[in-house]
Amino acid sequence: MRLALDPEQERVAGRARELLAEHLPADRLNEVEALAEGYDPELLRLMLEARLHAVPLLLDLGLVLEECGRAVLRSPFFPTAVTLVALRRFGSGAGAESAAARIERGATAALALPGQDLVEWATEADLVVRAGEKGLELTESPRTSAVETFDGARVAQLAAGGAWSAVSGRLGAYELERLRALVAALRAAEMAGGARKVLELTVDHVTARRQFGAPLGTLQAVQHLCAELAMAVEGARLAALESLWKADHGLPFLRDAAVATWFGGQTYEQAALTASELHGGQGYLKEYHLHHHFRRAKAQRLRLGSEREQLERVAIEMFDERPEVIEVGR
Amino acid sequence: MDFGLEAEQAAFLDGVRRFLDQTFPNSADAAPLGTSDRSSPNSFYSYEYTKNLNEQLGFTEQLRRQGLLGIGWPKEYGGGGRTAVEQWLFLEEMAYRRLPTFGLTFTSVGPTIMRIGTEEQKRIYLPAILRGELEFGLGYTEPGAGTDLASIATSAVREGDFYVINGQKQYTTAAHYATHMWLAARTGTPDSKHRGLSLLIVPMDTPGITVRPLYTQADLRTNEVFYEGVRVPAGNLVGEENAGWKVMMMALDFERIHPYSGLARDFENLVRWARQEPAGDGVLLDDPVVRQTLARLAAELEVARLLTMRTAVLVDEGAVPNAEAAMAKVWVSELRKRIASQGLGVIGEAGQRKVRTKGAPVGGSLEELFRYFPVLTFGAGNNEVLKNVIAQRGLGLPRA
Repeated sequence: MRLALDPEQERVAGRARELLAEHLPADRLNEVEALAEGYDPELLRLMLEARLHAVPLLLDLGLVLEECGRAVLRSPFFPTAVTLVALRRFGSGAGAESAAARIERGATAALALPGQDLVEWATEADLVVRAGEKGLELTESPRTSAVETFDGARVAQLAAGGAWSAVSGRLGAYELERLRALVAALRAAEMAGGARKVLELTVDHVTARRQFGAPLGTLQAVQHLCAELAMAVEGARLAALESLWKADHGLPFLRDAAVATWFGGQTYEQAALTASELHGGQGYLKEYHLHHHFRRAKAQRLRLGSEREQLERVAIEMFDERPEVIEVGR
Repeated sequence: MDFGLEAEQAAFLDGVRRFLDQTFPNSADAAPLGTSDRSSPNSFYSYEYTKNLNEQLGFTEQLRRQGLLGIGWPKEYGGGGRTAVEQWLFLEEMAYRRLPTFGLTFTSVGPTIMRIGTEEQKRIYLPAILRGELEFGLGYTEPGAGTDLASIATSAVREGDFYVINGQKQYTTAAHYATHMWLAARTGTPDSKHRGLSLLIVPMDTPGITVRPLYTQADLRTNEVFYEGVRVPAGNLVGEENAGWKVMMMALDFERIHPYSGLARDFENLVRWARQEPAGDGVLLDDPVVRQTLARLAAELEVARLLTMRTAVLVDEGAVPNAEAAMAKVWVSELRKRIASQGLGVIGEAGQRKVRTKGAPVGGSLEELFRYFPVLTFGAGNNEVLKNVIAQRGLGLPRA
């Protein structure tokens, strides 16, 4: 067991951090959100060029997404990366191979999961993959209608029809569930990164902001809110990364992904709510960047389904599938 | 990053499991229900339970022969030389099986003596601890010094080759079965705060000690202990005179890993119960509200595992996890509260049945847990103080 990052993990996460720090500093978030595209195409190009979406291990991709979450990256990067995961792990045949190769070379993509109504960045993507009983199917000219969201992510509804070609064999319910869980676990890693960043912003704020002649952070009420957040933030990060590590190693990961999904969303939202309270008026203004996390936390959580659905998956995995609830040390 | 056990860790865990399966099969079914407190005659950790296990199964001797007593101690002191992760795995396995471990005598007192004890202290105490002959109690808390231990008033005055101890300790849970007390007393001036404390080993058969029982709402026994002219040899001083605070902190540093698997077992039993309890046309676990309540707790239990694991891994990575250990402790104790409270809420009317009475759901373990859990939120580091530790040492927030 080792919690420190390996050199390769340091490298990919570090590269993501550098690019995001340079091109998407917090004080550019408003400007980028207002761009016609809704994201910074140059940053996306650089991230794809660095092949950050194509790292072979899910855990490493999770570490990259943690950085994306910290920076509130709204861009086709996430759907492109998870579409590649879908094609590489569930696709088959020449169509899947050539689509995956295109994405690896820098094409953007979007992924529609079974039952998903609102597909992220589907209008902007070079190719769209949908997953269903027939397996994975691909189109390069999706019929989409754009839907406005409150966190600035571009999503679209896919209209029926269009030219779809199969890029996998039939996928059973179990395989579709594994695909859905992988995407959710990757999003959980992104949310864990966002939650950690929000905690850091809050710690910085209550250290700098003085009232009654002392930093806010000297107040126990404030310290306790931060400490409670710190526990959840650590837990959310470890839960997400552990589920990805298990998937990388061919171990059962559905229950871990279910836990990471619900807990990650819960934690990011809680972090945003606590941060907003402790930042006061400053955090409430559009001039400051906390509002990006605040909106993002809730919207990301909603993209994972209702809380009832998320908890039901935990219940299925932990109560129905298994005679034992815990696994000591595994 | 690697979330898997290394080959040696996995082999160690397998060995422990096989040994426990063979030597103490079905221990969890045979064990008395109850809390993880050694002072309860009904607890699987209790002195009485250990004694019974020793008489019936040679429990301590079996563990000793297997190298599982003092598994974290260096080999030069006769220990198992195991890593923190391996110790953690062992503690979880024991807790899950409701088998007793030997608490702070092994995890805290022994290692502290190794680190700063005199050669004579090492020779006297360490082998005897490893033989399972000694049990230490913690003599810190007093009526006027709970969370604020720098206010300890019990005094120890040097008279020739002896210290003479006078004062009163409270909530000394092990006083009625411990062979020795790990006692903090004031050797400095009354206002010397944490700079005037010393740590003394006090044999409990020394004249002048009176132990009076105090019973808690969980029906567990703790004690108040009166020390009147208690004379112990000056050689029983651990570390230097007036440097007791340092010794206490060191002992605390060794006591970082608290298993969560006893709670996991309680929770599992609750889920099993809900899975077979009739409700409507099906079972209680089909009820969406019940499922959601339990699913939340199950996810939070996973977080308990991850935070506890992290503490052990950090020790092996060479860190001294202060804030991290505090996180695990606060999280697990708060979760224990939620599981007891919401678990009883799920059970409903039948939940009022007392532990170990006929018809009590889950054996009544949740009502007992409900009466028991508060001690875990204020004992072994008060949660509010530990949250300050997390905020200040972990996050770097300023002190008031």
